Amino acid sequence: MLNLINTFINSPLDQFESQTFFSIFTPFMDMNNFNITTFALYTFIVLFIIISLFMFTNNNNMIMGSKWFITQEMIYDTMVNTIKNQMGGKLWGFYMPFIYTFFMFILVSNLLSMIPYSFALTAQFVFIISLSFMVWLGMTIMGFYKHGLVFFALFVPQGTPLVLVPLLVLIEMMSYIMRSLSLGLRLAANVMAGHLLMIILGGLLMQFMSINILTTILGFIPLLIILCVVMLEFAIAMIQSYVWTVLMASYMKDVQYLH
Amino acid sequence: MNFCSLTLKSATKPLLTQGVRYVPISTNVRYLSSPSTPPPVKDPKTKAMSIIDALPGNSVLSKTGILGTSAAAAIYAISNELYIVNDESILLLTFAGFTALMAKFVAPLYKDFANARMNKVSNILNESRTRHVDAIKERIGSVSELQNVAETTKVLFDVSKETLELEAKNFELKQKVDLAAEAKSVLDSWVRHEASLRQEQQKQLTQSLLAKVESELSNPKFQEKVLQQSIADVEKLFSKLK
Amino acid sequence: MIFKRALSTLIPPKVVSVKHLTAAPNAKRINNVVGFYKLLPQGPAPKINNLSGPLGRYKAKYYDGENASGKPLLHLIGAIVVLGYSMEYYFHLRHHKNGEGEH
Repeated sequence: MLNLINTFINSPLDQFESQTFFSIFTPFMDMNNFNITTFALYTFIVLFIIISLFMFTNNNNMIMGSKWFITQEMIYDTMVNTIKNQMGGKLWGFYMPFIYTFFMFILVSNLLSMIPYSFALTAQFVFIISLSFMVWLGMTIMGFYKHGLVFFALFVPQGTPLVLVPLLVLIEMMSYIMRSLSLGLRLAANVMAGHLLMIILGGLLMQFMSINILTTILGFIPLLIILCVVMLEFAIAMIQSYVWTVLMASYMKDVQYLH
Repeated sequence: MNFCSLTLKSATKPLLTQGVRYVPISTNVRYLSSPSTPPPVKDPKTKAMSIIDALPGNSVLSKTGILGTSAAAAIYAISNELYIVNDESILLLTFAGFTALMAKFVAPLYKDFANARMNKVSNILNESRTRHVDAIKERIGSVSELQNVAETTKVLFDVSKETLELEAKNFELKQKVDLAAEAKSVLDSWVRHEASLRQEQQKQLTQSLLAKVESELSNPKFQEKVLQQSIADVEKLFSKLK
Repeated sequence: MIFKRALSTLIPPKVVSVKHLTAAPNAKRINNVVGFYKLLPQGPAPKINNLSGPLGRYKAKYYDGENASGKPLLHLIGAIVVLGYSMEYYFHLRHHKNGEGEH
């Protein structure tokens, strides 16, 4: 029996490795950026899922959607309320589709990554942090475009004593710049930690269960614990996408209204 | 494999039987040790029937065929190391358990919720539709009161025709009366004129007579004549008295 | 004469006429409504499907109206597991068969 079970130990990080299916080689320039990789494949899967969530569930454009559509409505409603509460004012409507798009992408890719043998898009630090950096950079450019140099008022909280202003500006600016990193890092680190935890626990349990029949039977108790961890990870997958949305909306508020 | 057979309907079956069909491999590895050992149930027969029902296919024969084929495929896959049991297999198991739990407990809740919500919305829509239909019917009723308006109009038209004729006759008569009155007034004025003219003539006549008489009176011859006449009269009177 | 003029507006009687009925704004609205209802399809709604082909059939089976169910999720999970496992097998697992590739 034992020789049927894979006894070699993979690195737990193997699951985040992306493979290249298709690549273009030219002697003239580096075309690596156009490679079709696991990442690209799963991005397309996420795209297909999101599109199908909208195209399939509307019940052929009838007034009422199918039962599937109620989830869509709920998500949309939650997003509207969240962004409205976070941003306030009149401008939230302009940025709601933008933030909603991010939410849907992150939610679907998070949940998709929970399927075994799947690939976690949101655990790719390069991808997620560049995404958050792009969002941050775009918001900053928008802030300067909208407010000009008055944008720097963002770094001086109201009611600061004049003596403290230089120090506070420094600190606030640091924290503002760090937003670009922290927004993505939070999501990617959470997702990656969750997947690592699950795979490590799974590996440990695998080792334990493959000792003999008794441990195989006993192993079903820790299996329940892993089941709980899986549930927790599902919750985290949903909460992290929500957290991203809330933070993005609040950053957007800072940029739009400056306080 | 037999994955498509895992339906929501089958999800109402206990978790462990799901596990058997979900990951047949891992159970085989463990000599059908734990997940496949049926948990204590009251009626094993209905249990077995429910497991059989969960499988795709129509007859029991095809179902057993599917079961057998999938089991054989699983054994083949594992023994040939087509399926390699490793860390992810545990996650596959837990994920299957999670899916089964969701299908068993959360899916019915969601179904109820969705049905309630859809009923609510469709009730609102249906209500507004019936209200609209009622409004339209009311309007049709109010308009249909004017249904026999053509006949009424015809009658009214006749009446108006008659009125018009009477009016015309009336006008004619009135003109006749007017003409008669006018003629009368003209005649009257003529009469008056003639009367005044005669008066004038008489007046002139008397005046001329008076003037003539006066002129005659002033005439000595006439005076003489009158005198003689009066004398003659007086004589006559005297003769009579005698 | 005034009496006559008043009479002439009354004759012929203008109680109702087709022109009179349609000229009123309310009646015009009603006409629009009638036109609208004529345009509406009657009877039970036909079964329509925006998509054709296998995707449309899949949609009709699992998404539309009463058929809506969670099965597509299970199909998705199955597809992803098969895809992911086959990729895993192709890239990693087949190199470790029979404990050869222990490293």
